[in-house]
Amino acid sequence: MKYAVVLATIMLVMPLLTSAQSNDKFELNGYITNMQYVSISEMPDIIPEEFKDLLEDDNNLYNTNINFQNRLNMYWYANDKWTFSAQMRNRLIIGDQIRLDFNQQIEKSYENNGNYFNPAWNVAVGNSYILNLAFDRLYADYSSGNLDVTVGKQRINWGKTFAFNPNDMFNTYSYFDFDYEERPGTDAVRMMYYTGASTSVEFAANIDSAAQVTAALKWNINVNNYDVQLIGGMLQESDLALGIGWSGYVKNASWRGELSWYQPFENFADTTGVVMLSTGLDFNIGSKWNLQTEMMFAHLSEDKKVSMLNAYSSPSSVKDLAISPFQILGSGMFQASPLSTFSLACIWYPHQDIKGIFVSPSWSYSISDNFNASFYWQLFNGKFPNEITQEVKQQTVNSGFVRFKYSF
Amino acid sequence: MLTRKTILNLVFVSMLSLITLNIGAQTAAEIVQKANDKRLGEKSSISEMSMIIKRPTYERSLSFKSWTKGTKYSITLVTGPAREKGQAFLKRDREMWNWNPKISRMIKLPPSMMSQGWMGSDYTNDDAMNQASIVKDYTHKMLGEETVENLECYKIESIPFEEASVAWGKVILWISKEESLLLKQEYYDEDDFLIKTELGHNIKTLSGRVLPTQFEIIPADKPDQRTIVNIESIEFNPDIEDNFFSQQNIKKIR
Repeated sequence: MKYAVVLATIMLVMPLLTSAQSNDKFELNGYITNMQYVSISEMPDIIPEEFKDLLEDDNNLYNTNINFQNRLNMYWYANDKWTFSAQMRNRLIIGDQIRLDFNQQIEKSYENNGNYFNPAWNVAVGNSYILNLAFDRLYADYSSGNLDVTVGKQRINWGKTFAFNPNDMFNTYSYFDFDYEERPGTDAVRMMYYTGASTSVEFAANIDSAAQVTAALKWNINVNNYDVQLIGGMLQESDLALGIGWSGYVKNASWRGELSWYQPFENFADTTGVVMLSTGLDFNIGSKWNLQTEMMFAHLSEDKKVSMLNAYSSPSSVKDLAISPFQILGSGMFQASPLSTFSLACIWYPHQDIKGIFVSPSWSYSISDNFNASFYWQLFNGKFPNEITQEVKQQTVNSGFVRFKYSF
Repeated sequence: MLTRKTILNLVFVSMLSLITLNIGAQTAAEIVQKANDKRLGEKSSISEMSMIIKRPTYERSLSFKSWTKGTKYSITLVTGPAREKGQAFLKRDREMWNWNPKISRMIKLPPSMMSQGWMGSDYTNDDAMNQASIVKDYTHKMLGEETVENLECYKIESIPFEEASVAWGKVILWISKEESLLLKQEYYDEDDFLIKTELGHNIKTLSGRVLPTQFEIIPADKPDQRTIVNIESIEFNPDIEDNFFSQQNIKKIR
């Protein structure tokens, strides 16, 4: 414990002292955040004894937490061909979430998040806290002429749309986790050969915690001012993966889309495959408004169970991205002043087994050039199991977050 | 009743005025071209700039580096503050992309993005990425002469072509006669309302050229607000290949 406290102190204070040391060869940047949050859910009909003290007089359950997060991005530009990077995400989480983690599910997930290599350590674990240090990027990048090769833990982002990304085979994440915009890295090899200023051929392959390989080729072409990507490959050694994605514009608005088909090699002729299409428009009005809309249609495999709970957790594979045959998102952002930005995002899941909506207003405020405060609210209403009793019924979970972020 | 002579006279006068107008138009376009070349280099430029957003009760700052070549190509890289650092923008002809290193993604930008202010400033994407647009997207007409900052200036009206994807309905320019300095610009929307005024200050010699090194942008509806852009350094006409302006390059440019 003593060791952990010392380490945590060094981790949090070091960036302040060095204040983003950079020169031509080395660069260090990142941020520190403090976030307080509460999740309010309805009281289940029967309450296990250990949850009694979460209950308030208004018959709701309050799950309250404090989270400190530090990100460190380190780069070493060895020469004009080689770049090395190590990036850390370090977290101290204190609160009910950990206290109620009876099966150590959260604790385990912090040390093993589905990757082959897991350079992540719970350096201190208590009844109601976890201090976790983790490298989520660790790679070498070689670049020569038109060729770029990156080997190691990295993020491979193949998305074209903003919320639902069926083309994004290497980079599944939870849309709702706004506190981790970098998203996890994956253990991969990636090669890019640029055939023009906005065209390229790309090969990527990764390995997951079950030692399954996903590999694909992607052609990036430009047709009539549309960026188009064509994807062909194999998902987790078990599925054929085909996809097409595009982004271009219709009048003044962007039109983006992704279509993907994942079909098991075994039972190739049957209906266990998944087809997903996501498409949307985004545009700006004047100098202050930005509006976005996106919808996803999916043909799900027959054995797929439709539940709203699946929406929240990060999907284990891109095949689990669509939780129902149709979902639609609308969002807007308003820059009220250089300091203050408001936004609102809504998702509707009309499927009868979910009847779900997600509503999330947020406000971000710049306290100084590098110090930012933000407030987020997330409301889920739909049919899903209660987090304690697993009883499925129409219910609401509200979560509020206040976050301070210092970037260096 | 018109006599033959009057008609001839009228024809002659109108022809003359047509010719003068035509000369005027050419001259106005040339003057604009010259001022633009002076500011951005005849072929290319590399510059470092800082921006301060001034409001009655606070200030915010941003710095960036910019590479331009002719009217077609530009790259803009945000170099500060830490929160925004590393964001890069590429423009090739009419197409634009944003590389966001935080999420490792190349995002294609819609044309409507051009009117968006940088970080809520009065400096738009159009100002940052489309600086040479005034030359190629507009027709120019001489309005007359006026004095700005004690310098005699041409006053020129610039109207965008129908098909040009620009954010404005009309721009009025004041360009000094002697040094071809762009000292004042007024931007109007399609309904002819003044949106913002841009003033050139701090005339200095930078890389061997006399230039206004500071631009002050004042929104018309909020006269107590300012966005100030300073040219910290500039290099004129460096050799830059066309393929420098590529997706590959904005991922690693520093």
